[in-house]
Amino acid sequence: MLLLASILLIISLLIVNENGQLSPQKFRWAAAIAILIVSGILFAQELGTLRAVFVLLAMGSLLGTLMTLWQWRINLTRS
Amino acid sequence: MKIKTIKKLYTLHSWVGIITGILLFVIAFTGAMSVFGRGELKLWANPQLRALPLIPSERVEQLVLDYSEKVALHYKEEVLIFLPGTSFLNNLTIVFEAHHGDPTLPQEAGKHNPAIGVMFEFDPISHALINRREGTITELFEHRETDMADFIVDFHADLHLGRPIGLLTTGILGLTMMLSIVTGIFIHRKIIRQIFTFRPRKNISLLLSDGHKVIGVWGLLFNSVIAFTGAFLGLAVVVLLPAAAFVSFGGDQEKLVETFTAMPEVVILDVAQPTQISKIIDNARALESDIVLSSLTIQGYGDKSAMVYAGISGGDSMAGQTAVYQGNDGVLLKTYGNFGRLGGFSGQVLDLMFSLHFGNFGGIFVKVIWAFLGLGTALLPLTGLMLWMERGVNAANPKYSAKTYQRFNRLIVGGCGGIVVATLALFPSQMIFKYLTAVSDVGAVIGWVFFGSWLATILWAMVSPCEKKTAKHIGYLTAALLISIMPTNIFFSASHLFNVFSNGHYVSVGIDVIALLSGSYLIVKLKGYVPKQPVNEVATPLNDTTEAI
Amino acid sequence: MTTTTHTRVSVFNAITSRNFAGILMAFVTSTIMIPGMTTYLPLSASDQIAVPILLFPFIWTGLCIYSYLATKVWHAWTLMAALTLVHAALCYVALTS
Repeated sequence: MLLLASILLIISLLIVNENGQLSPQKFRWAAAIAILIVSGILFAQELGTLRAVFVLLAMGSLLGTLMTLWQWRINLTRS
Repeated sequence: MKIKTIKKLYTLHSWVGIITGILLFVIAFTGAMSVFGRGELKLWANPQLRALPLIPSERVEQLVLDYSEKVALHYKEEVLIFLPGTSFLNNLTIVFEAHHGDPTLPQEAGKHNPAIGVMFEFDPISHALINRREGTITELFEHRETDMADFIVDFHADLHLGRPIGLLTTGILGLTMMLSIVTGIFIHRKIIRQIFTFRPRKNISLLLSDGHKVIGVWGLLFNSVIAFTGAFLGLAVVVLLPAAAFVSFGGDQEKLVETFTAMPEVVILDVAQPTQISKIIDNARALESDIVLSSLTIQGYGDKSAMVYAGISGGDSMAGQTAVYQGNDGVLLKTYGNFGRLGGFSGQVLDLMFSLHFGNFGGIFVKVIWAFLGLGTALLPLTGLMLWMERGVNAANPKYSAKTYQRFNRLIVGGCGGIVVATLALFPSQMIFKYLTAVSDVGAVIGWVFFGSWLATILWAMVSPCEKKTAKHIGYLTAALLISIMPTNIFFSASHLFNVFSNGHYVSVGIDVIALLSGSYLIVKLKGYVPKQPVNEVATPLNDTTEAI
Repeated sequence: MTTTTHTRVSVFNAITSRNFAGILMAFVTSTIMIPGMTTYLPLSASDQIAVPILLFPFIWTGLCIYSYLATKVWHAWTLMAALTLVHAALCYVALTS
């Protein structure tokens, strides 16, 4: 469950990342937020609501950082 | 916001970073290690605690009964039981405490003599008596056996400078970190738009600038929580509580703490009834699926009015809790957070402080997240310092001489690289002191290795002919120390990958594997590292001509 | 032959005074505000003690930043002196009543 929640979190971050910039498209944002909510629900089911809030924020920070720092290696941007 | 205001904030942000950067790296790095301090590192440092079976509750009850007959009556005012491997004590420990001191000694009117106790320590596996000590409660706990895990946690908390200097230092560092965060938010106006921007292949300046912003922006919430909770935890005892107690309690912070957190004293009925320790331990352990019981406090042991307070963690609550039981029949009366029971909203916030700071509220999963984010917190001041140096050296009109920048660079290399080396050197030192010397309190002597290696690295960085090569050599030394952790553990505890499923030492072998992989990865990266020449785009400060104070 | 001299324009005026204000005076003011606030916050007994303690880091950060951003440094000193005196007076009244 935690793994699935983490994967969904990564997907939502990938969706809002448009060629190394924050996407301006509302559709992408809507999709990302929807997936983020599902991820949050999965975290909450596993860890409890209050814990899930902190874990979601922390995981988002960590995965966002790692994704941004490694995106040039995994060709997420056209440089 | 006006440009002049942004410049002021930028200058303030820079100077706070320059002054506190190295110390902030030290605190943050040791903090990332301290996340595992009370659990995983303790298991690594003490092989006898690994895969420890739960002590049978009946055994604990019998030990308390047997040894209660070996102490004077006044010592049964309060009985403290600490279970091994779950608290800061390694052994099963039972303390019989005379809370109001020795009644045979004269007491001043309205005052109590200091609390005294008799401490019995038992082997965590055989439950045989190891040690018996007497003294004031403060002395008994101050002179306990410590190890590298305790050392790292205590260093992070107060730099081993004690109270009040150490706590004041770390607390003020938390405040300056908050200052850096707030000023950083204001000066980086494109904070959200550039959240995915990272251009490492352009040049060093842009790599550092983007890296600093990426770690800073993504880690904003985490760093804010760490800074706030760190400032609170550091300053609470030395400044905040005495100040808060000034009006209401005449400055007596002990009285304030007692009023709000003390367990109510039981009224002894002088009716003998056995205290149901075994039943209470079993009940506390079964309260929720992942509850960990670490301690019991028994007031009025052996009396009908006995009350038992069980220290528990895990379950639904993020913070540690106390489960209150009636001693004579083992009935659970209530559970509460240590401050949450006081009513009001602030109690719940206070309960979360420690959990949020150390990330010990969600098992190993959350600890790993906290440790990685903590390393990010450490990299933030480091990238900031390197960026400041890079801009300073390459500026059209450098504020300081090249030699000054070089000296500061050496200090950064030695100070920051040194703390990494010193922390990793604790691992082999722990095992060598524990098994090859007669030292019982390893934590008391391991400081020589820690501070010695840190100082040696700083000196090496300051005098070496080339600091860039020194940085690389420190990297190799770090890798070597990481790789040495696994063979050290195998040599001293015979615990390795091929017998982990039979002995259940998953945590310590996990640490070994992670250290080995990290060290190997570091060596590969160091071998492949070739400094790149600057190309075109350069990260510029707001305005080169007006950045100086 | 003309020579060009680069002059650095300081971002802050009265930097020493601002340093004292932002570091030392802000700490003193924030500390004295804690017992002062316990006398007037309309909260429960435990919150009256805990809330000022929790607010301390924010108060210090705000006062420190203001010390450096204030147009004139005496503005910052005046504000902090006023806060200190008011809260010290509140403590005195509470202790003597």
